Amino acid sequence: MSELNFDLDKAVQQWCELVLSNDCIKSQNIDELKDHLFCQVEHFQQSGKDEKQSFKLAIEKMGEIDMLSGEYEKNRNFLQKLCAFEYGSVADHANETMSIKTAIVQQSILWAAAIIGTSLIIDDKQQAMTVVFIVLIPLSVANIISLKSGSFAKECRFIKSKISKWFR
Amino acid sequence: MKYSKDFVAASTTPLVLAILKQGKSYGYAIIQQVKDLSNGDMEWADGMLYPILHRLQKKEFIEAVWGVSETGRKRKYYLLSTLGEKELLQQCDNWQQLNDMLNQLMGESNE
Repeated sequence: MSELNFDLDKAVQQWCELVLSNDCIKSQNIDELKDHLFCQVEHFQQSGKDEKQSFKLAIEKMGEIDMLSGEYEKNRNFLQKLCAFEYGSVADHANETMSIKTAIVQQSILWAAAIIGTSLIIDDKQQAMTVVFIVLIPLSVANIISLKSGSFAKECRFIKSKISKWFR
Repeated sequence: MKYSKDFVAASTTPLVLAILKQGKSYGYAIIQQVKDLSNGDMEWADGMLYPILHRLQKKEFIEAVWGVSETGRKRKYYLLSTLGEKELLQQCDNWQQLNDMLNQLMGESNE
């Protein structure tokens, strides 16, 4: 992007999207960060820097997105952390798309049905445990993958980081 | 002067509450005010303040209202609540007492 056609609004928008793609920051908090970023850009502009330079300095000052979301992460309660683990960004955009509660109810009903169904089928069968593992585990994995809609790699990274923390 | 991370973390709440006691304010302005008050010594990381504000809001020490900036941007302002005012007095007392304790000890050691 050259100096001449640098679009500040567009650049800020892109930065916001990047921040939101990280699961820890909710969409209702982004407007506050956006205002902050613009304030900082204006500050640098007043000291004589051009728009593009000011934007660059402002996002540097805001800090790494991982560090930023780490601070926000501290504010989450256990249920929110669990939801974030289960639903990822779905939970963060819950206000626009579906409420977390609806998702929890839906999931509970589906899972209860799956568990009751399985127990009826395997009733008194010798290989009960095997069947449970064959049916329920793939089902749960498929469930998480479908909810995270494409962000499975992120999920793996998250699990890996948690595991490495436990064993440290 | 350089402040340790722990010191900055411990002093954030009373500073934010005291700034809001003077009237409603918003994230960027609060950071600037702290910087100015400390003659540039205490510079908070930009991203650090907002989660803290949200925590104080959850504890009902401060309230948040959406407003509009001079340039027409959506802006979140924070105000001190009655509970926050009490908390501020409490924290001021604590810091004052710590200050007195340190002064006493330092006075003794100088004699």
